[in-house]
Amino acid sequence: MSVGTSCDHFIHFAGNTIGVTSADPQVCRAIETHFRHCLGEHAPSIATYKITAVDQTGFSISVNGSDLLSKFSLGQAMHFLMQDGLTRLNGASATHLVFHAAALAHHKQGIILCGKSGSGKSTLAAWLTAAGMQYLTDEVISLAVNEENISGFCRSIVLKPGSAFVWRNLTAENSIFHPDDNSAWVSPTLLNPTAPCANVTPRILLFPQYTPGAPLRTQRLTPAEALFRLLQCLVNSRNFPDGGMSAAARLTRQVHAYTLEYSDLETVAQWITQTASKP
Amino acid sequence: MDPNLYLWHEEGFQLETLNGEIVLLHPVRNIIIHGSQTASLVWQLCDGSRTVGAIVELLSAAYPESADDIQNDVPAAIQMLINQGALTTK
Repeated sequence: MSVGTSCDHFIHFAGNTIGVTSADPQVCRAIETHFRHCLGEHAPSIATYKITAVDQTGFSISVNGSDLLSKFSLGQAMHFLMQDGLTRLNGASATHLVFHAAALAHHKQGIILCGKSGSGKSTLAAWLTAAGMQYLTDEVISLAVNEENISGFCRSIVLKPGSAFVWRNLTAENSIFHPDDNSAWVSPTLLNPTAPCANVTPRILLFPQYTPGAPLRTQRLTPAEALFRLLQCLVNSRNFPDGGMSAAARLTRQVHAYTLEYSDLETVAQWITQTASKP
Repeated sequence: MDPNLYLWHEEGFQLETLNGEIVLLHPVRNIIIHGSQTASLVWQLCDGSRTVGAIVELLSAAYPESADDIQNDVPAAIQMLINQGALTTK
């Protein structure tokens, strides 16, 4: 068992906080690396996770004092914290709309990549970050009901094995964290030292779909088409009296929206950069 | 479609109109609908006081240059809204 000073961390997103406490230096290091840009001051927490080393390789996790899991590897423990913690943060927010989306900033122009798992948004976000854009998130964005700017859950970028080419030439293998699900957690600063961005005014809303072998196809969406698609990515609609409709509609009014079908990252990145650079 | 059917909104839908098109959201039932300008007009007229036939007649009179299209498009828009659970009939 590891002996050391307990570290308390507070992970913030969409107006809520989860607390994580552990005395294990590996756990503390992993949190400080992969949640670094989501960490903040002590705040009332909707859930408190305690991760304890029970032997040389195993960890147990309790949530709000109830033991949940034991004999977890570090990778499994971090994966659980990422999944369960984010689910709780998303579901609890009644002040911010939460959308499944990656987000970046290019010359202070916010770019939203909206889509569910498998649409390729994390890989595209990583590629654009490596190309010099600022990074907000690869997973979920939040929009406060009365504000114009969006924020992101600025965790490490979670990439599937097939996307390793994005980071392989930019950083050493030993700086990448591999939980047991074969994904790679890549700190955005490894791709671009100035990447993290706290919030931005959205200007472009994209619905990308990776299709192997497809040429780049783009289609401009009407505001209603964009709203229809955006609402499908809204995670916490039930928390708002109007289902989040008015705030989501406001967002679609302030952006240009497109669908994107692509296979070549270089080509789509060029198109996104050019589109974001237009006045 | 029976032209004598009366049409009502199902409860719980939120409406947003953008450039003439509509988006309907039912947060509890997790239904999201996008409708054309025709569907938007239909939605506004489905208040329980009009039949399918009356709505077709009303819109044909309002847009005589599109009367032929309206004969097809309006029932299609009504059927789409019924199929998606946004309209009820009697």
